[in-house]
Amino acid sequence: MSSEPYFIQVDNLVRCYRQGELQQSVLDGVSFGLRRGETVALLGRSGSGKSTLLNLISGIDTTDTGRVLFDGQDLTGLSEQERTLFRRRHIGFIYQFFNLIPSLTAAENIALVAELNGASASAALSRAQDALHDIGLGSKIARYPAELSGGEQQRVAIMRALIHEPALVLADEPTGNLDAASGKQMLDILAGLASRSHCAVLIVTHSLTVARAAQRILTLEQGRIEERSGDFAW
Amino acid sequence: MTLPGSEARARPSGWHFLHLSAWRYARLHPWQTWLSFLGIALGVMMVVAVDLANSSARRAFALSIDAINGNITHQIVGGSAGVPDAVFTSLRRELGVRRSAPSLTATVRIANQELTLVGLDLISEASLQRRRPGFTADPRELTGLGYAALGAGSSVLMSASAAESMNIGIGERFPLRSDAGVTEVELAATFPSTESVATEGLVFADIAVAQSLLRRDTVDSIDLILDAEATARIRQWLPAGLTLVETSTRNASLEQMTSAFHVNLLAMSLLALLVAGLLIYNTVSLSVLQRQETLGVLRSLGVTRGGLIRLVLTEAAVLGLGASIAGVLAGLVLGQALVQLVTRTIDDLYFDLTVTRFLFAPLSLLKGLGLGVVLTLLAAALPAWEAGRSQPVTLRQRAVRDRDWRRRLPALALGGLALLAAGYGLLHPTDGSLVGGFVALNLIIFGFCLIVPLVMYILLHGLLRVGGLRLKQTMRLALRNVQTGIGRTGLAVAALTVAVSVTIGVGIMVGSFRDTVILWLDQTLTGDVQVSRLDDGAVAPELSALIAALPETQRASASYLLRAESDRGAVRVMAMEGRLADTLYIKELSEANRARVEKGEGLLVAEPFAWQEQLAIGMPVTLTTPTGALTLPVLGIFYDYSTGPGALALSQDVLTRYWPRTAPSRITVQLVDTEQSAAVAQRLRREVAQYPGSYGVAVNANIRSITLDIFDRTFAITHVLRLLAILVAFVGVLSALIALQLERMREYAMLRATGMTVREVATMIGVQTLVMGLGAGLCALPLGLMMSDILIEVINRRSFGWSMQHSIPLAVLAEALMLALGAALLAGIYPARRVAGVRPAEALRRE
Repeated sequence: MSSEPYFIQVDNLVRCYRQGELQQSVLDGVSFGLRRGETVALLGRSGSGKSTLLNLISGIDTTDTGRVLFDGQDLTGLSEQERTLFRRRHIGFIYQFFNLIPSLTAAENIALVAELNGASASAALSRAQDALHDIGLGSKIARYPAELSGGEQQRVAIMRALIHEPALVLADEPTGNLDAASGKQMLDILAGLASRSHCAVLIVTHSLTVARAAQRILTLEQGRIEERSGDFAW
Repeated sequence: MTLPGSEARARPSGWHFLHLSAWRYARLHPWQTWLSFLGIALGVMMVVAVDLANSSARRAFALSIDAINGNITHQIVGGSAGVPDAVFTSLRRELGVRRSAPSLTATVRIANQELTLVGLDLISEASLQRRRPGFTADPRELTGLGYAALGAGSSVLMSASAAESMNIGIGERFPLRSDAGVTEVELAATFPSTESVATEGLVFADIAVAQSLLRRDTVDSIDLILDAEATARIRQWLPAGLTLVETSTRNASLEQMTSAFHVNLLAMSLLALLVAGLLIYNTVSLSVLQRQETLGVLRSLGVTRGGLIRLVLTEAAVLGLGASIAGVLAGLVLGQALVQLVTRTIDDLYFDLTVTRFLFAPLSLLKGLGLGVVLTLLAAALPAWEAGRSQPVTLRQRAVRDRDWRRRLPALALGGLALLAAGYGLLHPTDGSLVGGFVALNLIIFGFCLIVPLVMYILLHGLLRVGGLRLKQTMRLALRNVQTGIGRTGLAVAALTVAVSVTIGVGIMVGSFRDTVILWLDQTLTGDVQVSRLDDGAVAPELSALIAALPETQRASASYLLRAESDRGAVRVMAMEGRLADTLYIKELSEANRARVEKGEGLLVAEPFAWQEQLAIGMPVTLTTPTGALTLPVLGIFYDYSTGPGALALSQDVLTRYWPRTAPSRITVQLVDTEQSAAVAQRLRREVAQYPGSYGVAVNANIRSITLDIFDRTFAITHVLRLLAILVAFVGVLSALIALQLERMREYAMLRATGMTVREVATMIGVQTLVMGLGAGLCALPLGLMMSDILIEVINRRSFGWSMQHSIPLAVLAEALMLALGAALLAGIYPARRVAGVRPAEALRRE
C-alpha cells in the first residue's frame, strides 16, 4: 500500500433521509481517502447508499454531518453555486447509461466540457477530436450518440470525464450496460488514462469482477464502509 | 487546488456547444419549433396589425379634423338651424373680431369618390390666418390662389394630387353630387400640398358657391382664433340659439368616442397574444421536460442553475425574436387591410374621415417586436426556473415529477379561485374604468386556467372509477396516461381552454349585440314607409298633407330631429307625434315619470349618453334653444344603438315651443296593407322629387336590413380578429398536443414491444388527444360564458354605454367544441403515424 497521503479525504459522513415519520440512515459515519492516480472500487448492493456517497463527494448533495476534503480544503461549507463550479473544474463523471447529450456529436460532447472550463470553442473541439483519435474513435468524431454502439458511447463518456484533467473521476456502474469484453476494454482505458493524468478514480459497482480490476476495494454495507483485500468473497 | 469562485467565475466560459445542443434540439423537433414560431408570429401579427390600423386611423382622424378646422380655437355653432350669415357680419361690425371666418362643410361625391366640400370666405380667411396641414408655410397661399381662381360661377379648388388622382385637369367641368342634388362645377385651380394625405379628401369652394351647391342659406359655424378677453365678450354678445364652443373640447369628445373602439380592438389583439403566451409557456415547459435528462447531465458537468436558466431563456429569446420579426412583417401587411375596416367603422359610427389612407407608424413595429420578445421571455421564465431546478445525475423519475404535480393541484386551484375572486372584485364598481375591466377579465382567465388541471384530474378519476374494467384496455390506458401526466396534460388543456373560450366569449358578445339591435329596430321602426329630410331641413307641409291623404295610408305620424348644443356638448334632440314611450325602446321610466314626460316636465336620454355623462334620473340638462336656455330633468332612459352625438327625447309640445321654426323632419307612414310598401315608396319618391331639399323615402324592412348590414360591416374587424384568434388557438393546441404525444414516443414504442398492435397504440393516442380536446372544449364553455358576460356587462358598457340582451347562440358553442375536438384529432394523427414507424427493438435497446 502506498504511503502517499490522501489527496481526497472523506471524513465521518452521515446522511439520513426522512420518509414520513421515519428517519432512515443511509450513510452512518463513512470515512476513507483517495490518492492521486489510484483507482478505487466501491462495492455495494442496490440501495446500500453508493450513489448517495457519490453525490456527497461531488457536491451534488449535502451532508448532515462530516466533511469532504479536497487537498485539505473542505467542500461541505460551499454554496450550491460554488460546489457546481468546483464540480465543473475538478470532477469528471461516467455513468452506466453514458448520458451523452443526444443533440451533440461525439466530439462536441467532449468539447462541451472543455469549453465549460474556459477553452475556446475551436480549441475545445480540436482537443476533443485528438482525444477521440487516441481512443480509436477518430472515424466517429461527427457521429451522434444514437449512431454509436454502447461501448463506443462509454468511451466517449470517459473522454468527456477526463478532457479537462479533473482531480477525481467518479464512475457510477460504468460497465453495467456493456458486455464483458467491452466492460474490460473500458476499464483498461479508464485506468490507463487516469494514471497518465494522475487523477483519482472512484468506481461504484456491484460487480466483484469490476472491483478486482481496481487497486483498492471498499465495500459499503448498512451505511458503513470497509476496506477489503482483492480476494474477499461477496 | 483552487476552490471555486476565482478562476471559473472570473473567466466566463463560452456557450457555443450548449447553444449548439439547444439549436439541434429545436431542429430535431421541427413540429414543436415551427408551431411555436407560428403561434408567436400570429400573436405579434395581430397586435402589430391592430396597432398599425389604430394609429393610422387615429392620425387620419386628427388630420381630418385639422384639415378642415386648422388652428382655430373656437367656433360659433347653431345646431340644426346653422348660423345665419348676418351673425358673421354683426360679429365683425359690432365686436370687431377680425380673426373670424364662416365655414360650411358637407360630404360630396366627385368621380365616384367621397370628398368633403369646404366652403370658405376668402377675405375673412386672409384675416383669420388659419393654418391647415398640407398647406405651405404661408397660410394665405390657398386664399391667394382662390382670389385668382375662385369667385366666378361654380368654381372649386383642390390639391394637385387630388385632381391628378381623379384625373381632372384645370378648367375642366365635372359633376359634383351632394344631398342637394348634382351640379356641374369647374376646377379653377390646384394648389401644391406639402401633406397630400391631409388634403386629397378635400375640395374647396367660395362660401357662397358652397351654399348654392348645398342649397343652404346659413353656414355651419363661424371659426375663430380668440384670446380670453375676446371669448368673454363674444359669450355675452351671442344671440339666442347660438353657442360658442372650444374646438379642443369638441375634438376631445370626438376622440373620446372613438378611443373606446380603439381600446377594444387593442384588447382583442392582446387577448390573442395572451393565447400565444400560453402556447409559448406550454412549448417551453415541454421542451424542458423532454430534456430533463440532458439538463441533469449538464448540471453534473458543472453548468450552474443560472446557466441553465440562461440557456432556456436564450432559446426562448431567439425563438421570440425570430417569430416576432416574422409577425411584425405579417402585421404590416394585415394592418393595411385592417385600417380600411377601422376607418370604415369610424366613418360609419362617429365621424366622416377625409383621410382613409394607411398611415405608417414605425413605432407600432417596434412595439410589436418588443412585446413579442418580452412576452416570450415572460412565458419562458417559469419553465426556465424549472430547468434551473434540474437535479444533477440523480435524475428524478417522471413518476416523482408527476406525483409532485398531483400534490400541487389543490393549491393551484385555490390560487385560481383567489384570482377569480379578485377579478370579480375588480368588476364590482359598476362605474369602474375600461382598463380595470380588462385587468379583471385577465385575472379571471388566469384564475380559471389554474383550476382546469384539478377539474380535469377529477373528471378523469371519475371516468376511470365509473368505467372501471368495463372500459377497453386502450381506453383505460389512455385515460390513465392523461391523468398521471396531469402536470403536462393539465397545462395543455388549460391553454386550449383559454383559446377556445375566447372564441366563445367574443362570438356570444357579437351575437347578443346583433340580436339586441334587431330587437331595438323592431321596437323603434314603427310603420311601413318613412319619408325623411336628408339635410337639416323639414318636410314640406304640403307633402305631409299629401302623404296623410293617400288612400293607402292608415296613419301618418311626424317626428322631429334636430341638432343642438347643451351643457353636456352637442346633442341630437328628438320628438315624436304621439306618446314618446310608445315609439322608443324604454330602459328605465317609472309610471309617474311617463306622465310627466308627456306633459313636457322632463326629458328622456339615450343610454350611451347617460353613461358617458353619468346622467341619472332627476339630474338636469340645459339645452341652448332659439328662444333661450331650456333646463329639464332627466325622467327616463331609452336604449339607443344609433351613433353620433348623444340623443335626447322631448315631448312634441316642448320642442315646438322652444324651437318654434322647427317642422317635422320625418313622416312615418303606416299603410292599410303592408304589402303595398314598395309601391307606395315608389310613388312617394316621385312626389318628393317635386319639392326643394334632399329627401329619402325608405321601406322600413329595407332600413332594417341596411342597419344590420352596417352592423355587420362594423363588426367585420371583430370577426377578422376572432378568426385570427381561433387560428392562434388552433396552432397552440396542435403544438401542445403534438409535443405531448411526441414526448411519450418511447413509452409507445415500449408498448409496441410488449405486444400492442400499431392500431391499438394509435387508438390510444387518439383517445388521449380527444379526451384532452373534449376536456378543454367543456371547460371552455363556462369560461367562454363568463367572458361573454364580462364583455357584455362590463367592457361594452364601460366602452360605449350600451347594454344588450344576453343571448347564447348554440352555433357558437358547437363551433368551439368542434374547434377543440378538431385540433385534438389533428394533433393525434402525426404521433399515431410516427408510432406506426417505430421499431420496438430500438426502443427496448434505448431503455
